[in-house]
Amino acid sequence: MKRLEAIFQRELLSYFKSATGWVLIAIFFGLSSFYFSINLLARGFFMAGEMQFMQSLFVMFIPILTMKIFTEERRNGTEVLLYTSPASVWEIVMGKYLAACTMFLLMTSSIWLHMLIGYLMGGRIHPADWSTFIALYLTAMAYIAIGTFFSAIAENQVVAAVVSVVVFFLFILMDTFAQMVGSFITTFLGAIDFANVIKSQGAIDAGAAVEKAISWLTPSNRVATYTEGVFSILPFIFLLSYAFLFLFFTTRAIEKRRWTQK
Amino acid sequence: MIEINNLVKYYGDNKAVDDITFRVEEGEILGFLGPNGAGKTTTMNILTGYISATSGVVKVNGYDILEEPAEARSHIGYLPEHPPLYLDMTVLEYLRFVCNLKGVPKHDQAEHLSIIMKRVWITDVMDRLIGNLSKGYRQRVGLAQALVGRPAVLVLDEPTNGLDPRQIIDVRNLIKELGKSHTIILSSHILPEVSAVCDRAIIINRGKIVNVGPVSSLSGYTETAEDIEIAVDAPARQALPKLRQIDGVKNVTQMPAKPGTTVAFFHIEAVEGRDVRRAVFYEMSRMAWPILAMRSVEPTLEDIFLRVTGGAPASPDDIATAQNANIGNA
Repeated sequence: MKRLEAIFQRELLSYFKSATGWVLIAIFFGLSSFYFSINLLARGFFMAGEMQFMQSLFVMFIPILTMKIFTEERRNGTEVLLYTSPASVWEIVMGKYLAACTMFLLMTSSIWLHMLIGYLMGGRIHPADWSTFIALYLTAMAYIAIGTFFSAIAENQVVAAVVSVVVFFLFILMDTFAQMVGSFITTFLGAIDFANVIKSQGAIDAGAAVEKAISWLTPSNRVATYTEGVFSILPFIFLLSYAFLFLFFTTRAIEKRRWTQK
Repeated sequence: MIEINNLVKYYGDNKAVDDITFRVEEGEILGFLGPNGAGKTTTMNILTGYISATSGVVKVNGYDILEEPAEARSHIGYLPEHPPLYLDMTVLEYLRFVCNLKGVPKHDQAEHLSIIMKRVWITDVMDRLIGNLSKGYRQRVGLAQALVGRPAVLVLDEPTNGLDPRQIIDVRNLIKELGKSHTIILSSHILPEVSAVCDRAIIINRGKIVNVGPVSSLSGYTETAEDIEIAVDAPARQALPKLRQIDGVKNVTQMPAKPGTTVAFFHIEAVEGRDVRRAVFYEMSRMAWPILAMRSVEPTLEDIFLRVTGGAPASPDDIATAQNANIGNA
């Protein structure tokens, strides 16, 4: 635990030793405050909208947050220190992951500030705001784990960032993609069904099932109901598993690198 | 203290380490000697648990590096070829981080670090950013990092690399000093360094152990003055045949001299096992040609490989030449 703490501290500090941390905070504060003020003028105190807007920024900013996590260590040759220390790979990965999550918390702390301002000015915080708030952080945790994973397998920061952006972007397109695949299945089943064995409703159902299955994988879809103020435990577990799974992949990727004979 | 059994490491089809077996006893300073690409760094990376071996067993203080990695690693301080430094931290911040990483208790850290920093002479730079330090200082911070946590074993990969001559001497003395309380494995491609610091040396070439023995057995290769270089105040054309006539001289080559002087420079190769220094002196003195300088030529590591391996070629180029020669003979 002490080793995890040491790695966590160093990693968090490293965001502020370089410009990255400050720039990310500045951008997030700037954009969210802009949205907050515009929103305040247009329709009043509406936190859920602001948080959804911030979630749309993930595509760009989480990769910046995670791209250097492992690539930088490799480039500087400092990974030797970590891997030859008594710290386990899990401690290293968790320390770094939690540091990135904390950095994210600091970046988005403008939300807290806006909530507080709104509340003090007599605004009402809806239950939907709270659940959107939870959804935002849960989704971010999953995304940061994915970014961490790409940082562990990519050769350099740029590759890590680009791959993460592409994947996050795919998540956005996932619904459209799912629809496409779903309707393709429906059409396909109709086309090959010369003998009319499959009822047309059956083909449609099959397409819908595939569509549902693909969208099921998209992290942000799982918490869609949260934005309506419906809180359920399943998406919670789902997203945490998502994060855990990718952190597990990260440890495997690191181990593999050290075991590969190249 | 350290046991390495039948260690093999492949990089693709390339065998970087080829069935290495050796032991290091407690309190011993072992020199790991070999030219670049001999497999020194690979072996050290394996025995510190940084990379895996293809096969073979490494035990540190009785703990297998694969079975009980955390326990084994806690006994090792490792200074890799490139010191693993975070350039954006100050020296003190960095060493504190290493302390936490290696589990040095908080209340003990200040004293522990001040002793280490004094030992490697970095107390004066402790508040500076590592990124702004010179290479010599960085190397010493790397050494400090290896000492954190009082490991019983120190693994040092070319520790004097990049230091200036004064610092090299200091670091060598420091390693000797550390050898009293630590077991040390030190790699180097500089023979005199190993003979100056180590108790025992392993010569490794192309992944294989070529020779193991006490350092004194190596000095036999370094101290016989078989090859010498001299500067004589003499007409070169006359001196050359005179030198060649001397008994025990195998070959003499003239080296370029400064234009406009009468001083001639010669490289004299002696027959194996013969010391021709006296003979050369008397001969030159008989001719009234004063010798201005004479020095024995230190054999290079490659020369030593040739001798230790009984004339087996050391580098791939040599192999190719030898093979070509064989084909020619056939």
